[in-house]
Amino acid sequence: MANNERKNQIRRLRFENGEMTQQRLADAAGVTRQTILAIEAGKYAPSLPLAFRIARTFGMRVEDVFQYSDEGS
Amino acid sequence: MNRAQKGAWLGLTVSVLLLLVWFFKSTVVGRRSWMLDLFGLLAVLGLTGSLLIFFRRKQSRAEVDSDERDKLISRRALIATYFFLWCLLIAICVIPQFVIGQEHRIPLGVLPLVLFGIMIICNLVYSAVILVQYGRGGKGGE
Repeated sequence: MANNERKNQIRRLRFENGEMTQQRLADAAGVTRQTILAIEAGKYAPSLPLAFRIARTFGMRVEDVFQYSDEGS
Repeated sequence: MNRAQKGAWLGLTVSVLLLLVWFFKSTVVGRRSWMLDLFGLLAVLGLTGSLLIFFRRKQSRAEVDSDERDKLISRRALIATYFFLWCLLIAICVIPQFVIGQEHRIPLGVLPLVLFGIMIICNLVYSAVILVQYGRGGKGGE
């Protein structure tokens, strides 16, 4: 069975971008603060458009913000 | 707590209160108590009116009320409630036939009560499923 693992750099990027609050990132991405919290904690996988919006907020590419490893496939 | 969670808590509270009033009325007080009817109605109206206080103002113009995760949670709750509704309807249709038999009758006044009860229970299930999903972190999109 494949061992899927998702990671993201949102927390680190927020602090590198002038200690951006979750609310500010949420406003910029057009979601609620709870959703940013859930994504950061790895409890929710965002849709592709949302992943792009978050990445663009930081001025980065999607793969620099979100990583996905699919070991065993 | 976002708007969907607040709405779910309100729905859960109203449903539980209505079921309690219904249970209390049908078992303890008796069926002919207009005071309890009035109390139940006032409780529901009061809780509905508290919506205005319950939902806070936005902190900024960009702040959104709901997003894709909220919609996903709401859709799952709706599917769970729909499944529950079918189970409930089947149970309501089948169980009385085994318990009281096919030849017995029920008063006509019971029908609206049954429909009202189904509505309340479905609202309770919907609210509870939403709150459980938020409690679990709203896992989804996998």
